[in-house]
Amino acid sequence: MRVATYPHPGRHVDRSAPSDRPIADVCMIVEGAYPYVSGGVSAWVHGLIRRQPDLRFCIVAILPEPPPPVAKYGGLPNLDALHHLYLSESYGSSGWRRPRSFDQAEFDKAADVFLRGGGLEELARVIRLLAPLVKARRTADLLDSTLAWNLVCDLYDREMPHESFLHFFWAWRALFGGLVATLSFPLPPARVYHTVSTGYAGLLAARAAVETGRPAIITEHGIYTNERRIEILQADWIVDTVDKGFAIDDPRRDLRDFWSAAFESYARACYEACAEVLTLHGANQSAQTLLGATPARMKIIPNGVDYQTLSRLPQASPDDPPTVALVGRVVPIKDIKTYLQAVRVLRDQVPGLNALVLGPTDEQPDYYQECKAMAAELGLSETVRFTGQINVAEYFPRIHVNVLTSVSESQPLSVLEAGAAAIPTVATDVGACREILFGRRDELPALGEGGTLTDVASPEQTAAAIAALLRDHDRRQRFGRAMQERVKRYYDLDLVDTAYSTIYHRHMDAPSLAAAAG
Amino acid sequence: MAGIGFALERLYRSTSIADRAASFAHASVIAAGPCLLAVLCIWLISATINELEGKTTIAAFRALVIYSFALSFVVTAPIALVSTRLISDELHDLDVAAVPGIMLAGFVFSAVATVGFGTLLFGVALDLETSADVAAVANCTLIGLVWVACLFASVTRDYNSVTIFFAAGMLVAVVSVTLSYNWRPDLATMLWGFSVGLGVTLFGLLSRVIATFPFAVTSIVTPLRALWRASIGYWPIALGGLFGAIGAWVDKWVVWLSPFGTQIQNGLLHAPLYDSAMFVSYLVVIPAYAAFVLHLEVRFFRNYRLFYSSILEHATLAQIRAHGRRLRDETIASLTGITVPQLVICALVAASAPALVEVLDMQFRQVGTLRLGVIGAAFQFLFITCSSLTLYFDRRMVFLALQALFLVLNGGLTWALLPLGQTYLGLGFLAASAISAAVAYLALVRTLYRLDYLTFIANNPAVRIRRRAAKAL
Repeated sequence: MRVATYPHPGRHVDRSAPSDRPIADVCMIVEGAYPYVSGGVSAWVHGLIRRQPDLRFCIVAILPEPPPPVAKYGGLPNLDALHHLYLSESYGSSGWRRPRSFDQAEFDKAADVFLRGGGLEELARVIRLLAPLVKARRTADLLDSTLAWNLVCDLYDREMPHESFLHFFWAWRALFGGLVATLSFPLPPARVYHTVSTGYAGLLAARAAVETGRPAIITEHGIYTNERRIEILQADWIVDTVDKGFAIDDPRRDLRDFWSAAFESYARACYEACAEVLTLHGANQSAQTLLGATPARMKIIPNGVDYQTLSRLPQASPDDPPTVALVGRVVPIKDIKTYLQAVRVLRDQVPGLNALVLGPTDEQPDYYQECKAMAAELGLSETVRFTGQINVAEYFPRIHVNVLTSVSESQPLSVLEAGAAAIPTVATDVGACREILFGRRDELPALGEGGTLTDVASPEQTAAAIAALLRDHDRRQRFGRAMQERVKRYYDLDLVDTAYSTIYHRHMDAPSLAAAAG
Repeated sequence: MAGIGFALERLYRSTSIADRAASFAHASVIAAGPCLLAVLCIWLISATINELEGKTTIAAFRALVIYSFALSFVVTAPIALVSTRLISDELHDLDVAAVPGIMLAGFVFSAVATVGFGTLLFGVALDLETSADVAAVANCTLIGLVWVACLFASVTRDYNSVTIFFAAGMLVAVVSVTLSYNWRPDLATMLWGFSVGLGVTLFGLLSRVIATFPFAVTSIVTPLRALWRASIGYWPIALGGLFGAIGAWVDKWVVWLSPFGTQIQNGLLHAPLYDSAMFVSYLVVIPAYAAFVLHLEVRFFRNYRLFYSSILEHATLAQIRAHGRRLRDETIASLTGITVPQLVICALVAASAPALVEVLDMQFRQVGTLRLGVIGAAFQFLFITCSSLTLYFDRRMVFLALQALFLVLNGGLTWALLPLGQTYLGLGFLAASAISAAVAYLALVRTLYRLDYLTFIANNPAVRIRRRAAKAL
């Protein structure tokens, strides 16, 4: 794998024209994940590339600033290059002379319109206006010119003159800087651009579609704009200066609105630009539709698991020590603490209980230490075991019930993998868990329940559901069989791989829009 | 879930806005005060001693002291400015314990540099007796350390100490030089007598500095390294300080080396007609410097703090701009209010130059130089204040450019206008001061009118750091 970085045009820059570089079949655009975070989207990206050996891939990894962290995944034979897009960069030098065809005032206005709630058309205008500057590699002082300063002042005066200007300035700079970085980053040539989220990754995919005329597709695991909105609402670093109280028609905007509007603009442009708007489960589609995704282009391709291998694994015998497992990273979103509390309740009801936590512990070491301390405090040192990163196939033959206590999920692979091995699951009612355990509405014939749903952060419910399954072997068997059949029918990796292969080849072979227009 | 939202907070927290330059800029302004006191001191020594017939000891002594002032000023200016900037940074970061170490490092660098250059000048270039040579180097080094101590004391805006100890030291110097000359009229004795006065100033200032920062220096290596690194990081300030110091003296050097200069003894050059007229001119603008320091204390600094604190306290843009307007308007009004009356005073002094020459026991042919010098000194005041004020807003490249401009103009115009003759000696200084003052004033006004843009973008350390990080890749 070639690691190509484009940090600054003056140094270490691949100056070859895009046409000189090898053209990848698929350019995957990943934001803040692959190959630097394990599990989740990263694992999905890695697996997808690995299972499409006939295609050549490149990756654009979007990071806030250099240097990149330590990679959690090694190279793959068909992954040709890893490019880094740093949002703190401007991918151009500064200089006294700018191309005459560049009109900063017009560009600033267009960027403002786009950030305040534009879509693909507005983005295309921004790209067109910025093009002379990108071509001349003169984008470095775009943020620092007096014109840009006047823009931020005008924007502030118009939008939120009551806000802390200091906060507004940095918010604008982060947003505008990210926009400039994304739009001036040297785009690797590819036949298809595939983003795994909206946000900056979606913005880059939209830009690729506009600039190259090549198809862009998106596979959204969680709804990026929703997650950003929650993050922005919870952010203690944004000072509340507008108390809207209970007034729902207060026209004043605050910084949270400003951030949200920008991310929604990115999403709108991305959905409009993408030839395929894919997601893992139906619950996501309504959010996508709200932000302009066209139903005709929308499709569900769920996560897939290796059914052939997992379904052949032996099942835990009723005579084996009762064993439950939570498969996942030890991070707060998985709510391991609720799992531990449930195990504490369960231990008194189920003699000889073994409780496993199967997943990496190094992502948030502080949280891991907290969990270990909690387990010790609850007297679970002999019952609970944190294994770290393991091969689940080695553990499934010992597990009677799979558990998921996450506060948020998209389409958890752990539930599907356990299902393929005919292990029932007790899961919180988040993401696609209901769909996986109870089947989609269009499931014909209905396969029945594959597990039990509980409320979020409810150790008592979790413990009760696990206990019910551990005590009732027949029910466990019934749920396991239903899950196994459902995974075989809808979530088999081969089906997913075939679906992506078909999509990739269809778009790779399609003429570019510009060529088609010509 | 993929996403980069986590990065936003980090980007958002970067709120550092440059206001750490404030106490540093005080120092550069206050440096002009002791300089003027030194001029007064030399003039007093000349006035209190009646030279024995046929001897030129006083002339040589005066020339050596002037050499020492010039050399030490030039050598220590970059070190003193960079170390005071570093101290300002430490004070801004509330690391008070680091201050004595940096001061000590500043003294070490200054002492080494002054002894080195002093030995070259007095021991090698000039033909002095060994005793006079040693006394001159000691004298030069003490003056250098006094400069540095002055700046350190003024970082904490301890102006009274600077003025009191400098005045006391100079008074002791006048007395001890007079006594020593009457006891033994040779160069070495007079120089040591002068050093006694310098010692009073130096140790007085040190006592104030130590009282303000009563922290032990556990290692000298760390602050020496820090100062060295700062010299590289703040190179425009160091170079600007060097240019400024040379610029202040270059017109004298040009005249000394011209046909108007004379050689006293031991290879010492001076131009008594030019030098004394110029020194008297500097004394005339003392009221302007005093008024300016008063303005800094009473109005400027209050407005300056208001402007920056309003930003950090999350004011709206309208509020920030209102504070900026007030800072700008009051600064311009004060500069005008001080400079215009001072120019009137200078014009009156210039008009009454013939009478002044008689009162001060100067020669009538110095009238022209005195007139030009007095007006020039008023413009030089405006130049020094405007260029120093740019440092308050961390416009270090502007400061450097202004100092370079004055250096080139003062040297170049003084040299170019020498053919005009004795009457017009000083015209070069006047022209250089007037042009530089106009440019510095425009630069300052431009800075003040663009204060919000400079504060948030062009001059914002947080933005600069990111720009540097990008370039470093």
